[in-house]
Amino acid sequence: MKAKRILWLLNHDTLSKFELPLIRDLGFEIFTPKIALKEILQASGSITYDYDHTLTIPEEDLNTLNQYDFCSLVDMPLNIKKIINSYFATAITYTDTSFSILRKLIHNFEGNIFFRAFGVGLSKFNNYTELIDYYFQRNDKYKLQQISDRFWFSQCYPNLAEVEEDIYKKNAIYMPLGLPLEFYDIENQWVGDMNKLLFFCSRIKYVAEAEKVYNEFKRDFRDFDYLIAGNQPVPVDDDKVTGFLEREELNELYRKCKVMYYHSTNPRHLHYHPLEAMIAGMPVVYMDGGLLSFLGGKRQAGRCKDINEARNKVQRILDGDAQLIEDIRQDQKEILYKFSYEFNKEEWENNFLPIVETINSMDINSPKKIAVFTSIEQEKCHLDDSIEMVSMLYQGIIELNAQNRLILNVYKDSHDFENDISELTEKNVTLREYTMESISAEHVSDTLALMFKNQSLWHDSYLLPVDYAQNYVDADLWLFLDHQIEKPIAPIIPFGIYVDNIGDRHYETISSARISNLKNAAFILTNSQQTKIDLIKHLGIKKEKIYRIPFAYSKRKLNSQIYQGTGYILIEADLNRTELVKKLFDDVNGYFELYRNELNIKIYFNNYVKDKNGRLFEELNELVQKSDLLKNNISLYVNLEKNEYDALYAHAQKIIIPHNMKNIFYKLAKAAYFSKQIIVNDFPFYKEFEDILNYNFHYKKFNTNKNVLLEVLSIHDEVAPSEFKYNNDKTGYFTNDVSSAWRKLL
Amino acid sequence: MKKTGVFLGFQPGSNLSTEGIGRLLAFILKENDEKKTNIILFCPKWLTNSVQILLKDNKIPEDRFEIVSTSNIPLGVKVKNYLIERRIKKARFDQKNQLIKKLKKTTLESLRKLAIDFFSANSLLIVLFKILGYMSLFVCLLPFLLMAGAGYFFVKFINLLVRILIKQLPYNSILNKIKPLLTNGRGAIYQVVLDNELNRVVDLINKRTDIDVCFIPSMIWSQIRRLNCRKILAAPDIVFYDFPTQFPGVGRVHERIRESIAVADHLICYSEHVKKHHLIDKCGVDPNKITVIKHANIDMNEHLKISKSIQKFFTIKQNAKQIVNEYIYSNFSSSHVLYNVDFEDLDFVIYSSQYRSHKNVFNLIKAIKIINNDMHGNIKLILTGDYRREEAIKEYVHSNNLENDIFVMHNISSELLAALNKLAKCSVNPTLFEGGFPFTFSESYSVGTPSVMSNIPVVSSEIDDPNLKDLMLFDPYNPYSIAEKIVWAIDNAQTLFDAQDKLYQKFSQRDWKKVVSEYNEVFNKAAR
Repeated sequence: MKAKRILWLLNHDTLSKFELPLIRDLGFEIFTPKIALKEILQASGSITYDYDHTLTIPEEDLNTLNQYDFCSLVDMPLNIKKIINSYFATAITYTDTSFSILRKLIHNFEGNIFFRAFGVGLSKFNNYTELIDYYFQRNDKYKLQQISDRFWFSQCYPNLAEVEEDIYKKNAIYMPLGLPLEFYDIENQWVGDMNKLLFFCSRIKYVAEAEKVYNEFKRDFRDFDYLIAGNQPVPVDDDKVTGFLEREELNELYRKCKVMYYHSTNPRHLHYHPLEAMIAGMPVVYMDGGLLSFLGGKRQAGRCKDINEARNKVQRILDGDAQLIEDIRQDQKEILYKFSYEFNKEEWENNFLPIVETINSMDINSPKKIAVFTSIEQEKCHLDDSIEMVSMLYQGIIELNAQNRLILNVYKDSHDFENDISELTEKNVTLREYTMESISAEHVSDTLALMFKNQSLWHDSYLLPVDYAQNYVDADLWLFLDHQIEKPIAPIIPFGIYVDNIGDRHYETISSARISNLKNAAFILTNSQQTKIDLIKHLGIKKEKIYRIPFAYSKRKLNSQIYQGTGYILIEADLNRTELVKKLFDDVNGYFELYRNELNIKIYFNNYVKDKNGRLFEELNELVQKSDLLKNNISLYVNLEKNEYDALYAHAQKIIIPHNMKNIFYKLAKAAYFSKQIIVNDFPFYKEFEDILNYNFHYKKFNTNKNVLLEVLSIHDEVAPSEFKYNNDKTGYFTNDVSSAWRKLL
Repeated sequence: MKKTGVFLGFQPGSNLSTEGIGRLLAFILKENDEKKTNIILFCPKWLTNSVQILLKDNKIPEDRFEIVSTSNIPLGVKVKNYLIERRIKKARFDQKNQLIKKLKKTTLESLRKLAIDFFSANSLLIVLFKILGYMSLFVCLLPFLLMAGAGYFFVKFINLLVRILIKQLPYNSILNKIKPLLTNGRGAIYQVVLDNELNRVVDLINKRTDIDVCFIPSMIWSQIRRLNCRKILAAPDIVFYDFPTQFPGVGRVHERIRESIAVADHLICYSEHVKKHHLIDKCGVDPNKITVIKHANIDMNEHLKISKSIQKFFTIKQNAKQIVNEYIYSNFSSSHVLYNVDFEDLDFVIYSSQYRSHKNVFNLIKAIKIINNDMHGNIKLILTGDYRREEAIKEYVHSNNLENDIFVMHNISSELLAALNKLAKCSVNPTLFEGGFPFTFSESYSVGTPSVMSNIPVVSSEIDDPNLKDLMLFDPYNPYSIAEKIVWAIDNAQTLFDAQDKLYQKFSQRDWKKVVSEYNEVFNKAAR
């Protein structure tokens, strides 16, 4: 069925009226683009929904395609790539304004690509080779050469490829163009009762070449009575120039003017107006060497070798030479036949159909490989949660195709494969170690050239995940589980980023490198609607590339041999947020100064890195030890193993997390799992997790200058924590489960 | 036929298209009857380009008005322009560097080819020939090489000498002492140069016998006292009187304004408030010498219009998006929040105004902080005035992590401004003072976007419906009030837009033709 569907990506009004019915008659379903640039629409462009009903693809996918702008300046999104490759085997396109559709197709579409060549008109370019070289990057050209077995130079006239370079010549097929039925409204209506010569020249004061044509015509036919039609965006001070004419006014000229002169000697470009005149039956005098003379038959009474012959023939017609008029009218029929439905259908059947009927058997469901990268600073205590998440991603991926592979990459030297991650290897997840290497933009550019890819490189240097083997270029997608990578990721393979939340924006401005990564990401995975909204509205991320997946977290059994005491309050803090940590300490100190009681508080510091914030931790520890108020009441922890950390949670009275931090949702899930009272700041993206976990949190406005902690610690509420009911159905809660996300991407 | 001159004395580098006065002037010019145009624009040479851009930006045919300018740009202005350009145009240096790089590359490449050629020789005889050839080439080039070498070492020597002298002499302390004197002196000299040029513009007008009335759209060009014709002075406001502490260094400007008012034959202002409080109460101007001409609506829709033939395929909103995206793609990289964004998904508000202290930008920014940080909202603010020149606001934005929430787009075209207004959820105007009802209301309403505004006399006096006042006005001194109103307006944009229809229609009764006829009436009266 796929072989019988066509992406017709042209937005050209006249062409659509002839070509789409023809393609339909040849038995194809047709998709037409519904979004076009203003410039395309202004240049005889149009949009049609008339062929949507022919498509037998899911409505949701058709809607997605209909909302996509094929001319957009950014890369084609993965979901669009997936749809076009799933349902279509053929695409037809043209120059648009800058070859952006063709560029997208050659990099993303895996079927036959037909490039419609109408001939290069008045421009500084001599042929399509020059035009494409001007708009294409070197890497686009390499890619075009790579796919040359399914790229077709679809020429509207059989001589266009003669002046092109080999790749177009070799792949040239003749797919003529025809004239839509509405052109025949004036068929044989010519009476020629106005003794005037009709000439067309549009945009005289707008395009230098047009002005040259205008001046030459005025010089050559200065003694004749003539009219010059054609749209003039800049008015021309000449009574004989009509300017824009409505269709009926134009038809009136075709009926009445005695003769038309067509100046062009371009053998590879033709305007519509001489053909319209011929349909009306008006004799057209044209130049030898031009495309009309190429399309005409053996006898061509309207053809002229030079301007003198043209002047002479025009004069004879104006003088009423009936024989010449009749000969020209008769011979023109041969030209018009080349634009007829019958001729076109035959040529398309002979040339186009054999190609699309023997499509290459590109298999959209071939096994895919995804390289997943854990955080560089992966907290050991949340390793199990990350593993759970990877397991879920893996389950989703093999649901699509059992042959799909997931390569989990942990940061170098940070984990013991055998003990820490063994359960994944049992599931056939491949494990590797990676590191991040900083490479220059030039290095990225060279790499992209070798892969025939194009990417805008805005930065001087990039981060490349490296395993010192293939460096993951064999993967179809990369997925980074850490969204706080503070350097741009090399755009070598389409990559995704998992974002739990962007609450850190309330503590610092999200850096331009992170924004760049999220903007350049091919997809973003997140768990909550609120985070999706934040990504769209705070960072301006396109909603179409954000996928919600279920929240997966570890539900390990508590190791009862590890005991951390009882009756304490656990506070979590992020050691990277120096100011907040200091305020936390001041607040706790303030509490003990006021109450001087024996409340037991344990503080766990996240993100401990000895070289980065080790000094701060030492200072805090020292402060506690030296303080009579604090030393018996406060214990500080960093870098706990998962069992110790679980125990810390299991025996706590309540858990306070005053500011947002990495892995926050794992912490909330753990607290819920152990049925602990949780007190957190009132961020809206936490609230959704109450539903996800089916558990209630308590909210306080910690994000102020007040000592909110004092209030929280002072109140010995006896409110029993909610009872946690473990939701075992990972896919039950969300409508978008993980495999449906993968299905759209792979 | 007697004609009206328009005196334009804006400083070099002014962009009339983004100045309120410039845009008002554009409306007056645009609506002047094409066939009976009797207005001549007089300006210094440095302003002609800006005037032409203003006409083009507002789609006024360039040849409709005669532009008379001084013959040349004064040397002092040229020097200053050069110094400014030298500071900002690094590209030229880059070009030079590119040229040097290219030269270096070509030389190295030639040497490399020579070396390859030499070592590729496979017979002793050829090697000998080549040695002889290279030696004779070297001898021929020797004089040039020596000259180039000598030149190179001479420049190096001079540079070294200058560095030694700078080290030895108490250069810095001397420079620090004389720098303020030099700067002040330079500023004073530059101002005199500008003043002289404006005097030349006055001479140009005085030479014309057909000019009997001259319209002066700003009060700061006191040279107009020498004009022989009748002088009609536009007096938008004297905002300093309401904010005397906010304009340090404005003394001389104040004097000029008072001089202009003193010599004007008639004054035009845009509101009764300015007439009474600034011109009559503060300056003691005879009320009979003042005419209040209110603005008409600004219809920004004309900048977004699309041709009839494509209207069924392409909406005005799509047009606005395309205009904004073209600007974004050519000005921002992928590190920017606005890059590759669907503007319909963003909740952004716009305040289009020059940056001036009484425009109250700081309180608006504080309101955004309240919405985004305290209320955890997701609002963006687009400003056309560059607040970053005020260090305190810049620091506030930074320390409250608002860099990804507040964007400046200044010196933008009317087309882009119209597109931004179209895509904004709401327009906000927190100004503490305006000479007339703010333009921003009709700018945004004309493209389908409602406004919330300061509750100040010039605004509230125009709104008769107390309910509408409640809906759309806030206390500009209270950021919480601004924040609350913005949040409500975004959530209830259609309700607000519907509620503001009557107000817009009220202003629509006045069109620019009517405004211009009132201006012409004043000109004609003065001419009699």
